[in-house]
Amino acid sequence: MANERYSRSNWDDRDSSVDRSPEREGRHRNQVRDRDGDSKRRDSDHYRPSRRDDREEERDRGKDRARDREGSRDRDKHHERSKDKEGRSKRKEREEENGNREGKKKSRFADGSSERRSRVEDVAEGSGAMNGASGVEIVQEGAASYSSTALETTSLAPRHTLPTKVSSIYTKDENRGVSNVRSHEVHGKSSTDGRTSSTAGESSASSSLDALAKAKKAIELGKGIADRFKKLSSMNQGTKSTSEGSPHTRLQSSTTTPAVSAGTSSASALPHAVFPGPESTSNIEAVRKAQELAAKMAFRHDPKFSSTLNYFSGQAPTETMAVTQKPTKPPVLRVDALGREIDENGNVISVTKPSNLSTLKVNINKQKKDAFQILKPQLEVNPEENPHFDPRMGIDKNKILRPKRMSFEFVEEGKWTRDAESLKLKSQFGEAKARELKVKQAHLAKASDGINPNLIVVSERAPRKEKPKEVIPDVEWWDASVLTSGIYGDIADGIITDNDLKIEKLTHYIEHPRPIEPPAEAAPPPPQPLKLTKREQKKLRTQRRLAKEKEKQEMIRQGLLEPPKAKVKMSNLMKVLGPEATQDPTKLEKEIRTAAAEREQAHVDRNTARKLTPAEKREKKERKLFDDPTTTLETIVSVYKVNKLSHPKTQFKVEMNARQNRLTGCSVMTEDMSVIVVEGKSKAIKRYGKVMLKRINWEEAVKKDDKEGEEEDEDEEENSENNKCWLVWQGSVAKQSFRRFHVQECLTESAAKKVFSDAGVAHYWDLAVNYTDD
Amino acid sequence: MEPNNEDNVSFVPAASVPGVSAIPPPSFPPPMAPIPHPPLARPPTFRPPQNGGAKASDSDSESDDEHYVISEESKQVRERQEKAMQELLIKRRAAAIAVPTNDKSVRDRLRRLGEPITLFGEQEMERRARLAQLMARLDIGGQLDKLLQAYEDDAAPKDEVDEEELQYPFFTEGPKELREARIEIAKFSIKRAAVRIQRAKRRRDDPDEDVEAETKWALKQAKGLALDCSNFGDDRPLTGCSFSRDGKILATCSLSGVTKLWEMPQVTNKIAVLKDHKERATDVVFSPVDDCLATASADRTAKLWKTDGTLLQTFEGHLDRLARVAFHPSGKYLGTTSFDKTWRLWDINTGAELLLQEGHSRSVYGIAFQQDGALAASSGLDSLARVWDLRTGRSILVFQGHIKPVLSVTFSPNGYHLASGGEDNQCRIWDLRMRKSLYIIPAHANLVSQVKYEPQEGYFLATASYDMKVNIWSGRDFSLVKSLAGHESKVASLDITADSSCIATVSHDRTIKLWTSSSNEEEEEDQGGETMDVDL
Repeated sequence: MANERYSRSNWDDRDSSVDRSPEREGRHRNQVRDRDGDSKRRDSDHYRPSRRDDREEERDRGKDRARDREGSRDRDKHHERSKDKEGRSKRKEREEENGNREGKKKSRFADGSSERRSRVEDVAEGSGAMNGASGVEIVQEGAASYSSTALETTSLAPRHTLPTKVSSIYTKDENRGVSNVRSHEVHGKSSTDGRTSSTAGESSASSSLDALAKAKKAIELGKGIADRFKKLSSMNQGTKSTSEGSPHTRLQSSTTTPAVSAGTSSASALPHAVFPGPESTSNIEAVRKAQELAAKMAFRHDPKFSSTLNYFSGQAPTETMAVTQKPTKPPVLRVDALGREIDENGNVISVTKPSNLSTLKVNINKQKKDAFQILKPQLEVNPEENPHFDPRMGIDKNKILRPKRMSFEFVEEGKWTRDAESLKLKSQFGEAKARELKVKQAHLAKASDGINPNLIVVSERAPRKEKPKEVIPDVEWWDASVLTSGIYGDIADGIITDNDLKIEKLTHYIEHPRPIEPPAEAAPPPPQPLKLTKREQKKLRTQRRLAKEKEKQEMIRQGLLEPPKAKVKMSNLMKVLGPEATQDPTKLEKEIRTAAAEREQAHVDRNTARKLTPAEKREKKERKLFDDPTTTLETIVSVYKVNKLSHPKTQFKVEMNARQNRLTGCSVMTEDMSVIVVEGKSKAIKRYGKVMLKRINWEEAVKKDDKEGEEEDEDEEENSENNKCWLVWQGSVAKQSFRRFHVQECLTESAAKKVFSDAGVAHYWDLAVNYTDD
Repeated sequence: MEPNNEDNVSFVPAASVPGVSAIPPPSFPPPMAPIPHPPLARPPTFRPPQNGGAKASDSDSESDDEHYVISEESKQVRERQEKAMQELLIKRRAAAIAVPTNDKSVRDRLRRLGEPITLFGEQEMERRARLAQLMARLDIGGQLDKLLQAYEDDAAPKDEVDEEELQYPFFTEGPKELREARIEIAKFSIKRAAVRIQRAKRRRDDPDEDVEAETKWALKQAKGLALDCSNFGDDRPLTGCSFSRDGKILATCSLSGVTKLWEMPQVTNKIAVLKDHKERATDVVFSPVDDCLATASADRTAKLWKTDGTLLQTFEGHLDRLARVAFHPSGKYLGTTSFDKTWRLWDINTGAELLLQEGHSRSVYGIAFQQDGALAASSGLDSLARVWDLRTGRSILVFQGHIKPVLSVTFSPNGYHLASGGEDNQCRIWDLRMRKSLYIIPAHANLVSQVKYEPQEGYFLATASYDMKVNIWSGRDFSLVKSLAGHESKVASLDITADSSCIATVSHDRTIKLWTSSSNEEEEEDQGGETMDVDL
């Protein structure tokens, strides 16, 4: 049986490791302990899913330690039956605590195992515990009423379907409550054992020892009741064992047995409540006094140990029944049935919920930004502009700076409209872009003398459609130089005579104007090296080497050069050295080997020396990538048109490739289309062309874009199929029109055209606009 | 023996070479064949014992020489070695120096160096060897370059004298006929200019004249241009084409040198085949006044023909192949451009060369005459277009802007616009009145081979390109009106009929294509349909 349960609990652990039923845990622990009090084994069984469990475990361990110290003599199921050497009160304490826990566990179990529900229930418990804690000072109602409210809370709490956030808040409260209870337990134990599990607990424990002693006395007074409680607890055990696995029956049993059902907050309280003995009233009085004292002391020392009150409230039978309490020093969270926070009078306190805080990063960043905007004070009058300003006086301009005085701030005309406009832009394009656009617009507005180009509805496809009446000169200037009168006169009607012409200008001389060299002509190619066939190359090499060798031999013969040393290897050792080799073969071999190694090293060194350095390599690569074979001065221009360049991926590709290929130009995006102009050398232009026309998948880029935008019209989808990039024009120009590659987003076509006309290449834009795919 | 040997092996310094103690190391040439980079650590030479024993006394360092008196014998040895070294160096030098092989130049060189040009009984080979030795010796002394330089300086100054005298612009006398021709041209052109200006003013001011509507209509017509007819023109790629003034004959020329005259509107019937050029024909153009046509060829001649195929004139004089030809509007003069950097003006009646015009620094390619006849424009491979006043003979304008050779120029019928197209794939519009670039059309994906204005009013501009397309551009705003695609190879030339209803293009794919406005046809068809109905 025990084994089975053990394994089952283990399985449960695995199943729901986050929030596991402490009841089972406890029971399982009990079982294990019952079988043999080996703490090690138990430790190995445990897991630490949460802090709470850890704490629980710690407490349990402490308990176990205590029990072990007790000698683990009692291996019966009920400690009560064992003959302890410890004082009864201590044991009772423990039992109460056990019962307390069991009661909790039971109710938890009865409500099912769903996590949230158990949590909510915990809240109820916690609040119950708190109630108990706060109810130390006043006793107003009977135990029955309390138990009924306790029941009510337990039964009501799971019924609400609370929003998750709220529930999480509650979890906190619950934790507080639980932790309170636990700390008290630890404390209690440490006090009983004369030991503490923590240093913090120690100090407080010593201070509250007196109070505890008093409390214990009081408890001893009611030991007659304790007997009864023993019975009850045994009953509990019995019901537990019988109703295990069926929570409903448990629930029933708990409801049928008032003692059990009332045990939600404190099991020990019940006997007093149900059977309030006449002698108990005096006891109660004594206990209360002690508790009050203890509470005061505890509060003075540490609010954490307010939990001790819980303990005593658990002890004090009458006090636990209080539902409404006077507010005590530490803030007490009271929660009504609906989970709302209430004050002592039962009025709902409306607290601004923390859920108002946005957790979105964007908002947080924005808040931060808003919070940290620092306005720099500016000097209203520049002292240096003052003709009487003497810089030698050492007046620091920054020191004069003072924050502006409070004064009226008048809003200048058109500010709000501007703000609205920027807001509109912001909503349309996002914040960062909106700022850019704003700046751009401001520039444009400046450039066109205050006329906002965006206000003009532009369909200026043709560059010179609106032509004013052309001015026709009376005479062409080249004709005027020939005419004597300088005007045509009536030549058109009549016959021209020699008198009308400057005959003296019409000579038979031929002018030879100065020829003008072409602006960018390729330099004549360098003379080609003599091309040799493979055979000829080989022949030449052989001859060259032979000659060299011959020369060397000659030098050696004349004694100008030392004859090279014989190359001794292991293979030709005997041949070269002869008998010498046999004299000290080891040394010889060593020498030969070092010589060979050095030869090899020399070879490797030669090779590495021949290699290009990284800088040279880079240079070579660069040369390969960017050097123009024709060495002309011309710049090649490519004009591309793309339907839609909105996808950031393609935008990045377009820009990055231009930059990396060292091209200048611009990419101008409007809503309808985008025009990309790149200028550079032939190789780079060629590479870029491949990127634009082959490698970028334009259709896909737009499709993805649509997907991101989610709801798009069908027209858009059709457009996406048509999304393409065309090479509108490619040709050569003398000079680059742009200094670098920049990307610009324009709202209107006129703005886009302005970008080009500023660079002096408006015809690129015209051409791209008028370009149609055949 | 053994330890000594060992020491030698391991402690031979890399710099001092043992064994050759007689020669001081600094003057010693690299003993080994030059390795690109000397290895950092020279492999220690393993010296065989028999060798090492013999040299043990020899291998002294430099310091030994300073302290001990060198014996007579060793001095001699050293001298001998030095001498041998010198000889070796000279030999090597001589092998490296380029010595003339021609005996005459060998003698010449010897004389220049102040040596006897020949010794008694000396043969050519010996002489050359002597020269080589001599040169090597001088070279080592560093004197050879100086001597040669001095000689070249003596020879050079002679050429420079006449270069400096050129002061641009300068004038040369032309033939006497030139003056008469110029006066004639002046009279002709002034009259036409006056008429043109008058007409332009009338058109501008007359409320009945709707220039806008006309332009619109013409552009609509141009937009409706479609391929009407295509036919093979020759076995070789075609290079030029021209309509006769009445538009009834189309002349095409090809690389085979043959010019063919085709009957319009279907270019299936040949009227005449003009065969006289010895080399490829480069251009053909009809006279604007009569049924004559001129062809240019790479055989450095231009020829004038009648439409029945008879040769009227041959214009000879160019020094290099011809590029394009153009008729003066009066029809009396012919302009030709050539790769000899000149363009020339010919009298078609006499065949005389009236004008030889220089001014381009490279070959001249395109030529065009203004409608008035007052101006001529020439363009060349020097990437610029020059406008010449034919009356005064002055170069009145230079249009620089193209970056690559300009292959074609054309005047607008309005008289003051000039269009030029070239290898930079652009077509530039120049304003003669404003004397500046009016607009740049990024026209094609390949070089622009031909630019032509619509002959009536310059409503549109047609550009032919090697990208196999012909583009029609509006004459007003220079926007693309229509792109005529159909050729399978480079379009070499195009021409537009006088009524601008038809465009002919010739290409390297050997076809002639005629493009006519389809909207016009539709109207005609509609009319035809109506008449049919009436008939029924």
